[in-house]
Amino acid sequence: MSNIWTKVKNTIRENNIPIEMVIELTRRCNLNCCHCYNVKNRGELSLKQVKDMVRQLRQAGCLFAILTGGEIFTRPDLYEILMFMRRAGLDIKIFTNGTLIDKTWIEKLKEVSPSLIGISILGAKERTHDGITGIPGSFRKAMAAVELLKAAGLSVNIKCALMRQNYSEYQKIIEMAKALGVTYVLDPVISPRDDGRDDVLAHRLQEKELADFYGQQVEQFPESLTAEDDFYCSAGISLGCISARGDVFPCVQLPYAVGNIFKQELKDIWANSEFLQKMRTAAFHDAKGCLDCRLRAYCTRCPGLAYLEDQDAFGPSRTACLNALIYEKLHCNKRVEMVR
Amino acid sequence: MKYLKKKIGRNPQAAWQEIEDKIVIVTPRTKKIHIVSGCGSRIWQLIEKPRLGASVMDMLADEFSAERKRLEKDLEDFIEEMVSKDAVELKDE
Repeated sequence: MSNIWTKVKNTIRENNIPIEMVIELTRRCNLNCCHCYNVKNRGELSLKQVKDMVRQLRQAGCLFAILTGGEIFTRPDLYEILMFMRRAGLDIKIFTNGTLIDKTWIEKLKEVSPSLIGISILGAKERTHDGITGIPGSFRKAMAAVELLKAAGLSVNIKCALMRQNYSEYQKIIEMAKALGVTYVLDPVISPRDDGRDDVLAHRLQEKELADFYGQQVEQFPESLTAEDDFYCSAGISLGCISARGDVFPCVQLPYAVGNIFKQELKDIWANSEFLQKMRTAAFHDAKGCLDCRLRAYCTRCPGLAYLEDQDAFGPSRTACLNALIYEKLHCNKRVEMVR
Repeated sequence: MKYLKKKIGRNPQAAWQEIEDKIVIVTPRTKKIHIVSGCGSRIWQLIEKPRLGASVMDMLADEFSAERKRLEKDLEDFIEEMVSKDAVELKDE
């Protein structure tokens, strides 16, 4: 089975099939998170547009649809959209802040049967979470949603963007997730806003905190790191994004529009975009400024972050440079410990 | 073949996509990836709308050169495996 799946994955990659697409159903949101990259009120796909998009997704080869926003539960037609996608054969993952999921939604969601519902929990304490979202009561509502969904047998993942405000609580967030019996992901990377403004970076962890956080995972580091072979990710190859205006991006993190699905079919955009073709053929030596870097073995460069930071998806990313420096120190320390 | 008089249909909660000559299915309950190929891919296409087992069998016999008994066995195996994974539903005629 795994052999066949590996072969199919190779086919997907070799033929640039957009098997996984992030869909921004709306830019509306009922929260006001201080770190959010999302510039609000930049469009919403109409129901008719969503249905046309689903047809195009299927035709282009998409199987996995990751629904995000804004906050998708602000849409009164969400259930109709979810059922339409389900009947079309798409696997659905949902990213939400959870605050609008109540008991009436549970039966509907069981019918939709998403493979994952990711809920943002931004602190172990109500005061911390609500301070970040800017909306009092959001923590209690989000936690209630986690519990309702879990009790209904749905697969829940707690998503936490780690930042200065909640860093001291991350161990408690992990404990909370374990106690609830749900999975979790902690992400210390705060991206610039997708219009390029970087005011949100003020919330990023300090270098010392990052080193401490990554240090917790040091045992998972491979003995020898070579980033050269997989310097580029699946963005623009098997992963893409459709914005709330119908623009096609290589990734939600790389908001460079390579076309619009209401002007041209997704399949044609994906096959013919010069930018995507460049991404697919780019290698390490194409990343200007990276070739001779002594940290390249530790580099987890993200073309999207590079683009958001300096408007060049093929250049270095300052975030990745800092992370590589931290990884290198941690790796050296680990080696020293092993020698001792 | 014991399913000739049964209506065979996809579980609407099963996500799937055709990748070249294979069908990638995400099974509804476990959300695991399951891949079918060859005769199985064709059966999956034929049951886009629920269809009688006998009708599926006749179409397979028209399209594949293998012996009917062999095709019956393939169809039976496919149905049993996919029903056990909740990806296919059976209904009485």
